[in-house]
Amino acid sequence: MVMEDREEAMREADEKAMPTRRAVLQAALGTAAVATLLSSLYVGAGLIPRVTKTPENEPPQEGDILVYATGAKMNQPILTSDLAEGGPFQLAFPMDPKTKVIRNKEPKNTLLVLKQPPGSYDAKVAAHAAQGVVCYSAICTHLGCTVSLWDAAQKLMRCPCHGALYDPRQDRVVSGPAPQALAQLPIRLEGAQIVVAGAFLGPVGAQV
Amino acid sequence: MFQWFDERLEISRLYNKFLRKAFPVHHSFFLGEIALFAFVVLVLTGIFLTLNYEPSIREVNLPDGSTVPAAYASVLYIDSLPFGAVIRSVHHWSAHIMVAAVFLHLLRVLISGAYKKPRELNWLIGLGLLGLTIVTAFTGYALPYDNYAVTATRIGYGIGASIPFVGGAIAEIMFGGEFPGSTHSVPRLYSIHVLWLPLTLIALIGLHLLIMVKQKHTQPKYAEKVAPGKILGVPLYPQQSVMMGILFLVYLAVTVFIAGAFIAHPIEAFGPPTPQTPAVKPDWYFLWIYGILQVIPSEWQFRFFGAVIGPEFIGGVIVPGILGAVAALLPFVDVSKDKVRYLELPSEHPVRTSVTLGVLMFFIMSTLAGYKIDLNLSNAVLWTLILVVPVLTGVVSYILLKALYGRSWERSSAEPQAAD
Repeated sequence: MVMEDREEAMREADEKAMPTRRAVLQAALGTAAVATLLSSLYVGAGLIPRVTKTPENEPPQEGDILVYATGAKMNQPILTSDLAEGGPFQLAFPMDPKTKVIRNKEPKNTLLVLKQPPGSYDAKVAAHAAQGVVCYSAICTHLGCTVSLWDAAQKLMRCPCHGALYDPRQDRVVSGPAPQALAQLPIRLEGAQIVVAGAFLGPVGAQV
Repeated sequence: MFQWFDERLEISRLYNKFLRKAFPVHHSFFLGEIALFAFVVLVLTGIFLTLNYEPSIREVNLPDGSTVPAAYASVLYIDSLPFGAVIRSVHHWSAHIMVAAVFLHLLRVLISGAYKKPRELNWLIGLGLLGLTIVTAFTGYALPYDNYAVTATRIGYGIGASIPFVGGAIAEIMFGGEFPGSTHSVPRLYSIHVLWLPLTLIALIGLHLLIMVKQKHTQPKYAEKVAPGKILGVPLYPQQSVMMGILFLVYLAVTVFIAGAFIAHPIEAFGPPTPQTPAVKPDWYFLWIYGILQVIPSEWQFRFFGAVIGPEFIGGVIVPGILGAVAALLPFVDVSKDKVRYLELPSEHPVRTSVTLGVLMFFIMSTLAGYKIDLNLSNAVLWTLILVVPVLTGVVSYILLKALYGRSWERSSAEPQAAD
């Protein structure tokens, strides 16, 4: 009799404690879930890599000299006398003249430089050109390929990836999928060398 | 010996319960199997490649004095190993074959109506597998780090980054920063290509097969007449296994021959990355997207809650997204009340068949647009081809099907009981 009473009492106590127990467990589970979510977000943020700035991946600085990005004279200064008037253009990187660091670790620093008759530019482009030499970002604003083809017949620049055509004289997109014109980089001449005279005049790289 | 194992592992029970399971035989049923074989070969050749590949773009000097990225140099090293170039070529070709086989398998399921109840889930998993297969192929593309691969991957990065709001983050996470340029890119793509995506593929392929075994494979139409209510097929072991084994060996022989005769992706010919981009074309299964990107003018750009919806997003994400969404919804729109056990004949479902042919023609015409510059075609001509030819194909197919099979449709609608 005594045993049964005790069992009965225990069962009653158990049932009374049930809601509390459930609430405690639910609270524990909830806390654990939130803690897991927050910590995984914190750890997961590490998936977006840190970018370390070095002289090699800095954007073109005023006073940088343009050097050949490709070809036999790679990494040597481009001389205006080397550029044929009327094209084709040369691909270039900016180089710090003091440290001789070439800023080629950032693909967006790829530039194209060309010489046209000084009278052929419209006023906006001519303002930042020097004696017919003009410099643009070579990164197509469509999907970030390098604009590397020269259309000799039309004297236009063509991106090999999806065929965007750019006009160097008016700084505009002639045809193709590119959403914006190439960003012009102001330059000046120091002797025969081409020197960066300021920051890009527009956004650089794929405009997405 | 057999008894010793049987007493411990109950092999004969497994044999009776599972390995005696009958599978129907039809030539079109081997497409999924070929995709599986391609995957197995990809895993095996891939393991070989990982043993010598170096996922890094640090600069190393080659014996000839040139400085190239370590990844590029390690692939040159792989190519110099005995059969190394062939194994890499088999890996590359198998990726093509897997994409093609998965797509053809999907087409077979589509035109035979096998996506209907109870197989809606497996249809969705299959669509996921097609998407994952293509993404896996894409993440492997940049790994040799030659000029061609880098340019092609760069375009993919641009398309990923064009997704409004989340695209930038997705591209950053998948490519480990800006591509090209970031030193984290190749290690990140490598991990995704050799670990995460293959594990996901293995899990989904396993699920796909388990569900197929559980739900039983659809049977060819003739089985309905020959043995109604029964499964017409051969047991998994030994008959089906022998067929599979032979098919696998044939697959291996053919791919090794192709891979040896036509070395895929010759990185020495492309050279290490330079500031110049070559005129790249993506792999054939991306050519239709590439073609659409070529014919979308830059004016197709508008703002949407502060985000830019540009031509890349429309051509590279929205168009494939719509096709994917339509495919995913199909089994819930074209429903069957009863569980489907037998394949439907394409000729008896003229609308579905004609629309499928029209969509295929859309792929072909968009692919043609990928040759816009080579063929010197104008946007107007290409838009006409892309929009008109598929519709025309669909209409003509319907008319032809009606002319050829119209009488049998009347018969089956006249006596619906017989069709069930």
